[in-house]
Parts: sequence; C-alpha cells; structure tokens
Amino acid sequence: MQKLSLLFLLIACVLLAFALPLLPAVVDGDEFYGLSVTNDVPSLPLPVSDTEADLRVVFFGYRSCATVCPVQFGNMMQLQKRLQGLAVEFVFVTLDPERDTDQLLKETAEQLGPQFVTFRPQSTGAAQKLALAYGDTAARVQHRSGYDFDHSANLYVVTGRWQRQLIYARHDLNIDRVENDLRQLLAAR
Amino acid sequence: MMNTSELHDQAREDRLRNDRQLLIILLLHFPVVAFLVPINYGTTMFALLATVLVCVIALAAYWLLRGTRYCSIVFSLCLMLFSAIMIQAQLGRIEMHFHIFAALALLTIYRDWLPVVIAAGFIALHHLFLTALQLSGASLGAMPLMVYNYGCSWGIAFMHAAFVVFEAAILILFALRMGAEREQSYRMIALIHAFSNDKDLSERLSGEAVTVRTFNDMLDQFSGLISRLRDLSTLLLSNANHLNQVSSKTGEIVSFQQAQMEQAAAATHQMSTSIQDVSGNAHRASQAAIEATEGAEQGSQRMVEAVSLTRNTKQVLEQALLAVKELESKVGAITTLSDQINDISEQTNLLALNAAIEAARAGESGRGFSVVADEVRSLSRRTYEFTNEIRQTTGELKTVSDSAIDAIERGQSHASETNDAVAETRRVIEVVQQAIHAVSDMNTQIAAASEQQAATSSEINRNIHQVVDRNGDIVAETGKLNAMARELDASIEQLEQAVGHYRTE
Repeated sequence: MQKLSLLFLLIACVLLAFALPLLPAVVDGDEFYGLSVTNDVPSLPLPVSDTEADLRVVFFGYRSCATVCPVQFGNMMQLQKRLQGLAVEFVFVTLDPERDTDQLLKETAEQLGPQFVTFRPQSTGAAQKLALAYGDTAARVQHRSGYDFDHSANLYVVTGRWQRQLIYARHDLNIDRVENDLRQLLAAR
Repeated sequence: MMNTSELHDQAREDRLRNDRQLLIILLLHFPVVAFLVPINYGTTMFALLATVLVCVIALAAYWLLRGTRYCSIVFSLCLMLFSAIMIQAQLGRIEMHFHIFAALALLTIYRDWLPVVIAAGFIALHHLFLTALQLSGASLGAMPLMVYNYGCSWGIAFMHAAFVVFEAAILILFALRMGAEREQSYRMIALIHAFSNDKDLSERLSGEAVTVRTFNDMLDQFSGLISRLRDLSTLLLSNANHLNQVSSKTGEIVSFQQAQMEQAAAATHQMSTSIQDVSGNAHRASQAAIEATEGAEQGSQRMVEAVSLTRNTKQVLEQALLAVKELESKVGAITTLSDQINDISEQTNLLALNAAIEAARAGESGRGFSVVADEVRSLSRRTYEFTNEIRQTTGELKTVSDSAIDAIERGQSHASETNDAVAETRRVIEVVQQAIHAVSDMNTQIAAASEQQAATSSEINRNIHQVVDRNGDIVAETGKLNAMARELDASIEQLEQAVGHYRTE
C-alpha cells in the first residue's frame, strides 16, 4: 500500500515538474503576450521629447554586449518601424557607464532611430540598482581581456507615468505579438 | 539492553519527527513562494497554483507515508519542485537557483543519502529538460520557458549540474556519516536504556571511532566508579556501624559521667553546706573563745582580787593575832593583878581575923569593930572568890586566846596557801587565756578558711553544675550523633540498594 502511494506521489511530482512550464499558459488568462504586471518603477530623467510618450519600452544593456543586446536592439528597431508615428519611446539604459560614454550613447541612439533615447547612470552600481528596481539583474563578469555583464535583458513596457505594464523575459520574441500588445495598450490610453 | 524493536521504534520516532519538521518547512514555503517570490514578475497566479499543488503532494505524502523512508523521498522532490517554481517565477533569476543548494542541505535532516541523491537527480533532469526546451526556443503559452535569464547553454547547465553533484556528494558523505553517527547514538541510547532500566553497565559499543572509545571509556569509568562506590559503601557501612557503636558507648559513658557529676554536684553541695556549717561553728567557737577569754580575764581579775583579799585577810589575821596576843598579855596582866588582889585579899582576911581577935579582947568597945572586921573578912573572901573566878576566867580566856591564836595562825597559813593557790590558778587562767586566744585565732583562721572553702566549694559546685549542664548538651549531641549515625546507616543502605542494582561485569 505504501509502495503504491509512493509510486503515485512520485508520478505526481514528475508530472508536476514537467508541467511547470505549461502552467503559465493555463493560468495566464489575459490576452497579452508579455507578462502583465502593474507597478510603479523609478522614473528616468530623459531628455524632453517632441511629444510626450504614452508608452516606453525600456531595455537594460550595454554597448559592447555581443550576445543578447544586439538581438533586443533588433527587436526594438523592428517595433519602432512598425509603430512609427505612435507615442512610443524606446529607452536604452546602459549597464556600463564606464565604457558607454555620453557621446557613444548619443551615437547609438542616432544609429537606432529617432524614437530611441538613452540614459547613462552615474556608475555601474547605480545602473545595477536601477535595473534591479525594474526586475532586471546584471552581474559584472571579469574576463582576462576585460569584462562583461550577465544580465536578464528583458524588455519592460512602462507608461508615460512610469508604471510598468508588461515584461518580455526573452529575446527570441514574436514581434507580431509584441506589436499587438503595444497597440492594445495604446488603444486603451 | 534495548531490543531491536525498541531501536526500531526510536528510529521511527526520529523519522516521524523529521517528517513533521520538514512538512512544516515545506508548508512555510507556501507564502514565500506563492506571494513573495512572484512580486514584480507577474507570475503570482502560476506560483500560487504550483505551490498549492506541491503542498497537496507534501500533505498527502505526510498523511500516507510519514515515518517511512518513502516520505523523505517525496519531500525531497517537493523541495526541488519549490526550487523549480521559484526559478520559473522569477524568470530564471540566478539567485533563485540558490534554493536548490539550500534545499539539498536541508535534506540532511534525515541523515540519509537517498533523499539527497533523489533530489539532486530530479533537479538535474528537470534542468536538463528545461535547458533543452529553452535552447529549442519552445514557448508554451504567454510565458517563456526560462531556466537561466542571462543566457542559456549546455555549458551553464553542466556547470550548474557539476555544483549540484559536488554539493550532493558532500551532503551524501555527511548524510552517511551522520547516519552512522545516528546508528552509533541509537546504540548509545540502547546502552543508556539498559543502564537506566536494568542498571546494566556491562555492555560496550563496538568500533574504533573516537566517540565509541570515549563513550566506552566513560562507561568504564562509570563502571569503575560504581564498583568503587560499592566498595566505599561497604567501608562506609562498617565505619557507620563502628560510629554507631562508638556513639552508643559515648552516650553511655556520658550518661554515666553525668550521673557521677550530678552525684559530685550533690556531694559538693553537701560539702559546701557543711563547710558553711563549719564556718558558722568556727565563727561561733571563735565567739565563744572570745567570750571565754573575757571570762578568763574576769576570772584572772577575780583572782587578783582574791589574792588581794587573801592578802588583806592575812594582814587582818596578823593584826588579830597581835590583838589576841596583846589580849593574852593583858589577860596575863589581869591574872597577875588578880593574883596580887588574891594576895591582898588573903592578907586582908588575915588582918580582919587579927582585928576580930583584937576587938574580942577589947570587950565591948571593940564589938563595933569586930562587926567591921567581919565585913572586911567577908569582902576579902568575896574578893578571893572573885579573883578565883577571874583567874578561872582568864585561864579560860587564855585557852580561848591560845586557840584563837592557833586558829589565826592556821588561818594565816591557809591564807598563804590560798594565796599560792590563787596565784597558781591565776597563772593557769593566764595559760588558759593564752590557749583560748590561740584557739580563738585558730577559729578565726578556720572561719576565714572555711569561708574561702565555702566560696571555693560553691564555685566548684557551680562549675560542676555547668559541667553537668554541658554534659546534658553532650548527651543531647550524642543523641543527635546517634540519630545521625542511624540516618547514615539508612543512607548507606539506600546507597547500597542503589549501587547494588548495577551490573558492572
């Protein structure tokens, strides 16, 4: 009897373990592709734009990142293209203010597109602290030839009043669905 | 010695306690994993549902399998499921992986390698599966599959696995060691049970570990201690008996001594009283001696007066003798005179007779003369008679005076003797007086000495009384000592009983 119970419970555990990735799909009942969250995040002292943005897509990364950051830049540029003319602003916050100078950031913004703005925190520590407040982790990893950051590289969708709405916790995004999410949010405004 | 089933019970009890504690820990995960971890990640519903499911499994395991090794296996899986939920709820955040290591360490509560191995294997498989899913880009529903949020690769997965294996290996080692120690402690408990239930100190642990040696050493020492205690108890008992005897004997001696002391006290009291009597008598004797001295002095005075009186008597007698002698001479003179008168009267008678003859011759003229001559003769006869009577009287007077002289002389002689006797008496009285003085002095000294003796005797009496009182204390103390000896006896008996039950060989 006990062995039977054990067998039953072991199966339950294994099933649950492999069902965990499926659970969010069952639980998450809203129509958004990103994870819905509603909470305030720290505002960023951004340069005054021509039009006040209704939505901002915030990304924490660094200029010399060779892995996930270019992918996310690509995602954001695609979105910029699709949402041209709408009050959406793309914010790049550097995690590496030591190497990402104001000049470099300015050039980066110009390269990325007109709806891109950048923010350079005063130090790496301040950048990490700010990232953590958004839910993004960033760990500086020293190499023989320099250093990198292990970071979440999520995209955060926040309102003009700095309220977080959606999180995209991966870089291989379905851009159509992200665009759809953003349009829904803009329409709701 | 505790039998196998008791040991089994002990092990089961331990296991039940561990299951209960781990269930509590698992249930405490609920609020943390369901509500705290998902904050800011939008995964609350997922975490809540998953956590509830894990808690249900944990409760079912506790309900069905508690107290068995199976329960620990299911609980280890539940802990790993919590790790997985936490990682997924914070979108693969690296810090959430720490829970795996903490949870694995937590499993050492069972001191069993199996839950650690199962948990490590389970989480490794889960990780590898999710890594594969993540790397394949699979997306299930709106939420991305994320084991790592900063980059996903087999390299990282294997590095994580290596750490898990490393920790699991260490924990398995610990678990095995702790398991062995637990077995050891069960055996120790068994020995202690045997010790506490059957007073058996003869068994020892087997093995060469320090703990075993130390424990066996302790048992040896304890065993030795009990043996020594037993020996001591025997010795103590003998000593206590001796003490009891000595204390009884002491009690008797002290009681006897007290009786003697009381007698001595009574005797000293009597002595004190009699010494006081002696002192009083000596005083009175001294007083009497003083009075005797005074009497003797008065006697002596009287003797002096007697001597003086005797002397006066003697003088008076001498004067009387002189007077009597003078009287005698006067009587002699009277005799002489009366003889002369007698002669005269005889001559007168002759003359008268001659005158009568002559008158008768002178006839009538001579008659008147003859009558006168007759008258004269009659007067001369009568004078003669008278002188005879005087002579007779003076003769008697002489006889009387002679006897008076004789008497006076005898009286003088007696007075001298009396004087001598009085003088002798006086001397004797003086001697007596001196003797009385000496007696009086001695009496005074005796009285003083007696008073001192009385005081000393009273002091002695008081001291003896104090000694008697102290003796009473000693008697009481001896009684206490006796009681203590008896109590000691009882204690030793208890000790013997206590020690007697232990088996050391």
